[in-house]
Amino acid sequence: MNPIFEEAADHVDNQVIREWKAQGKKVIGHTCSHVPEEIISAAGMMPYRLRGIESESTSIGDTYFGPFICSCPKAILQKAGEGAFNFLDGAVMVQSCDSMRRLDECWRAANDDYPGILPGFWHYLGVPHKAVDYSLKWFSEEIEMFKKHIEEHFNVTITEENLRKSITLYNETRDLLKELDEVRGMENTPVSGQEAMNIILAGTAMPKEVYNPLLREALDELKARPAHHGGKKRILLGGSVVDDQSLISVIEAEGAVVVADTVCFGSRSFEGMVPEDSPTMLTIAGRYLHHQFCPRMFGHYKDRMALIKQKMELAKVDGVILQNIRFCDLHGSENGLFEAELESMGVPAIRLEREYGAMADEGRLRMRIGAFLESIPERRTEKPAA
Amino acid sequence: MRQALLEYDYDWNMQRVFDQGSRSLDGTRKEFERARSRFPTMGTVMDLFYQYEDVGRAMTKGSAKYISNIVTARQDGRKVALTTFCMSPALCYAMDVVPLLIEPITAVGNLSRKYGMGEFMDYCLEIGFAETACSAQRGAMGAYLAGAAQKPDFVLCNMSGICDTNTSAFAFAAEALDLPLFQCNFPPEMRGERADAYHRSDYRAMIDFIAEQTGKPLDPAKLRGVLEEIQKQDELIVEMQDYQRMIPSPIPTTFNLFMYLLRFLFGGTEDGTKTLEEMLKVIRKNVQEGRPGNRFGEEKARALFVYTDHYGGGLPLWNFLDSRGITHLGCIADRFYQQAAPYVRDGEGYTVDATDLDSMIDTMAALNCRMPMVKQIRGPYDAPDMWLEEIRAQRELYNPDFAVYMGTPGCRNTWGMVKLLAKQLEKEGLPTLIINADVFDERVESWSMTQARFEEFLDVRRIGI
Ligand code: SF4
Ligand code: SF4
Repeated sequence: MNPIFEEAADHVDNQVIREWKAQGKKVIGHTCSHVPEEIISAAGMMPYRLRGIESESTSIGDTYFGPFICSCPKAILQKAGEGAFNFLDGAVMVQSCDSMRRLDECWRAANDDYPGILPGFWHYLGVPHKAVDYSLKWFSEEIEMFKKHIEEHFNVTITEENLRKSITLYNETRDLLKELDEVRGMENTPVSGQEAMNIILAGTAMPKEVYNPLLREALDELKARPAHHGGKKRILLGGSVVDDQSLISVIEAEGAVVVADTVCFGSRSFEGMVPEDSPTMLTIAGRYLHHQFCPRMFGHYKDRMALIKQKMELAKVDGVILQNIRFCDLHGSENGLFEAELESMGVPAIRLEREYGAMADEGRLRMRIGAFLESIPERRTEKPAA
Repeated sequence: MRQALLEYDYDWNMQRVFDQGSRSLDGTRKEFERARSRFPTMGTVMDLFYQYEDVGRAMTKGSAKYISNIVTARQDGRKVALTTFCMSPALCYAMDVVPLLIEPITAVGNLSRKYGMGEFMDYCLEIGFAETACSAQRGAMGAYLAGAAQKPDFVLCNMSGICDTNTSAFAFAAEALDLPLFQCNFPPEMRGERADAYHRSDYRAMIDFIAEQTGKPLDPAKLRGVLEEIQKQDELIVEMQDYQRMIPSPIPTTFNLFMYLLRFLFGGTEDGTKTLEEMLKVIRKNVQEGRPGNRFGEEKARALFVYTDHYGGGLPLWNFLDSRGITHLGCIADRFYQQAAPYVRDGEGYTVDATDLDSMIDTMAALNCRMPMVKQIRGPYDAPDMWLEEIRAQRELYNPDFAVYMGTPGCRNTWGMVKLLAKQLEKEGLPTLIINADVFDERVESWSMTQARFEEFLDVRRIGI
C-alpha cells in the first residue's frame, strides 16, 4: 500500500501538501462534512479537513474553551496554537455542533496570544439543521456568499466550467470510496479496518486530483490481495468523530476486524452525489443538506438507523461499537437509541464514551472492547483464510 | 428507578402540591402555617408567596392552573405539546394546545420535592440519553419517559441551531415516546432580510404542523386575543425593567424570577397579565416610598446575571442575595426583546402588529426568535446582536457592580465561549464570576459550596461589603 496514505492519515502535514504549497497553491481548512469542498476545489485550492491529531496536551485548548467541551475542537485549537496549521491560507468555521462552532471565537481569541495563527481568509458558514425549501434557499445563498468571499479575497474567479469539473471530481471520489466500502465488507476481507480508515482519512488531507488516482491504485491492489481477515468478528463502528487509526487499532488488536462504519470522517461522509448537469448553488446545497447522516440534522434518527442496518447487512456484521467523544450531545444521545434498537434486534451493541485523540484512555477502552467482543456469540460461518 | 417513584404520577403530584399550596394562601396566618407544615420542602417558597400576598396568590394559583391544564388536557379534548421554555407558549394558547414546558417543570420539581429531580434525571441515562446533557430537560423529561406522567401528544422543539443538548433531548423524547416532532431551526444571524424570511417560513411550518396534529387550523380571532395580551404584558414588563434602572432598585429580588416564569408559562394569557399587574403595584409602591425592593432594606451591590439563575430547592440564590442586600438585575431568561424595552436598540426588538393574519404571524415569529437563549447565543458571542452586545447594553443601563455566569454543565454552547466573555468583561472593568455548579442539580455542587464561591468572590473583589 502506498505509504502516503499512512503519512497523510497520521500527520497534520504530509508530502502532498508540502508539494502543493511549493507550487504556490492555497490550502483552506474546515471543520465539517457539510462544507461544500467543491467550491474550494473549483477555485484551484485544496480543501483540508481539520483534525487535532498528534496533540500531546490540550493546554492551549483549555485556556479558551470551557471545561465541559468535546476535546476534538480543543485539540484542533491546540494544534493551531502550536502553529501546526500555519500552512493554511484560509479556514471555514461551521456551527456543526455546539462544541465545534465555538472554535471560531476561541481560535480568534487565541490569535491575540499567539499572533499569526489565524489564517488570512476566515469564513463562517451558516449550515441549517433541516432540509426544507427555505433552508435549502438559505444554504444556497450561504454557498454563493462563500464563493464570492473566496473570489474577492484571493482575486480568483470560480467559473461554471471549473465548478462542473470539481463536482465530477468529487463524485468520482465518492464512487471510489464506495468501492472501498464494498471491498472492506467482503467475506474474508482483504483489508483491515485500520488500513481502510487510513485510506479514507488521507482523502481529507490532499487534493482530490491527486487522491483519486492513488485511491484507484489502492483499490486494484486490494482486490488482487489474498483474503486475510477471515474468522474474525466483524464490527461496524458508529458514532462521532474518528479521525485517526488508534481506536480501530485497539478493536482489531482484540481480534476483530472493522468492516463498516458510520462515523464522522468515515464512510458516511461520502454518501450522496451532487448532480452533475447544470450545477447551481441550490443543487450543491441539496446534496449537503440532504446529507442527514450526522445527528446535527435533527429528526432523522430513522434514516441513520436505516444506514446502520444497510451497512450491517452488506458487511455481514457481528456486532456494533457505538462511540462518542465525551460531551458530544449529538452522538451521545443518539447512540443510546441505536444501542436499544440494535439490542432489541438481537445485534450485540456497546456504547463507549471516550476522549478525543490517540488513545487518551486506551487501557479502559481495550478492556471494554475485549469484553464486548468476547460476549459476541461465535456464529460466523466464514472460515479463517488459509 | 425506584418503584416508589412510579407509584404517584409526577404531574398529578405537582398539581396537588400547587393546588393545596395556593389554597393555603387564602387562609389566616394560622391556617397558612398549618398547611405549610404539610409540605416542608416548599416552605421557604411558600413563605415568599405569603409575604407578597396578591402576587404570591396569583403565582401559585396560576401555576396550579397551568399544571391542572396539563393533567386534564386529554379529558378536556385538548392536545399537549412537549416543548421548551425557549419557545413562546402563546402560539399553543392561540391554537388551543396545552404547552408542557419541560424546564420550568423541572424547576418546579426541584422546589417542591424533597430530593429534587435527581432520580428522574438519572432515569434518562438509564434508557440511553447522554449523561452530559443539560439537566434542565433531563429532570422532568425523565418522568415523562418513565411513564410517570401523562404522555404528551407531540413535540415542539425551539432550539435547533441554538442548543444541541436541548434539541437532542426533544429528538430523543420524540423517538423514545414515538411522538411526531417539529423543530424550529434558527440561522446564526438574528436580523436582516434573510434571517427574517427564514424565521417566518419556519414559524409558518410550525403552525401547519400543529394544525395537522390537532386537526384545527389557526383561528385568527384567537391569535388576535393572545397578541392583545402579549401587548399588555409587554408594556408591564417594559415598565418593570425601566424601574430596574433606579438606584436602589425598587424591585423585590424574586420578581425577576416571577416575571420570566409568568412569561414562559402564561405568555399571552389573562392570568399572566393579571399577575404582572399585581407585581407592578408592589414595585410602584416601593418607588413612591423610596424603598429598595430587597428584603435587606438597603442596596449594597447590584448583580447582573448573564445567563441563568439557580433553581435549587428553597430558592437559595434569591435568599442569599436578599440576605446580602444584593439587587438582582435580571438574567438571560427575562429578556424578551420588546422594541420598547429599555435595553433594546433600534430595530433589535419586535413590535406587535395585529393588522391582519400575516402580520400577526410575523409578529409571533419575530417574538419567538428573540426568546431567551434563542436570540443571543445563536452566533459567535461577539457578533452583532449576540451575547456580548446584550451584556454591554445591560451594563450601561443597569449599572451592575459585577456579573455572574451560571448554568448547567450541559450547556456546551455557552461553556464554549464564556471564558472569552468573562475575560472581555473584566477587561472592560466589570468583575465577572463564573460558577461551575449545575443550577438544576445540586448533586453536582451543593448550594452551600456555590454560596461559598460567591462570598469568596465578593470578599476578594471588595463588592457589597
Ligand atoms: S464529536 Fe460530537 S461534540 Fe465533538 S466535534 Fe464531533 S459532533 Fe461535535
Ligand atoms: S441552559 Fe444551555 S444547555 Fe440548557 S437548554 Fe439552555 S442553552 Fe441549552
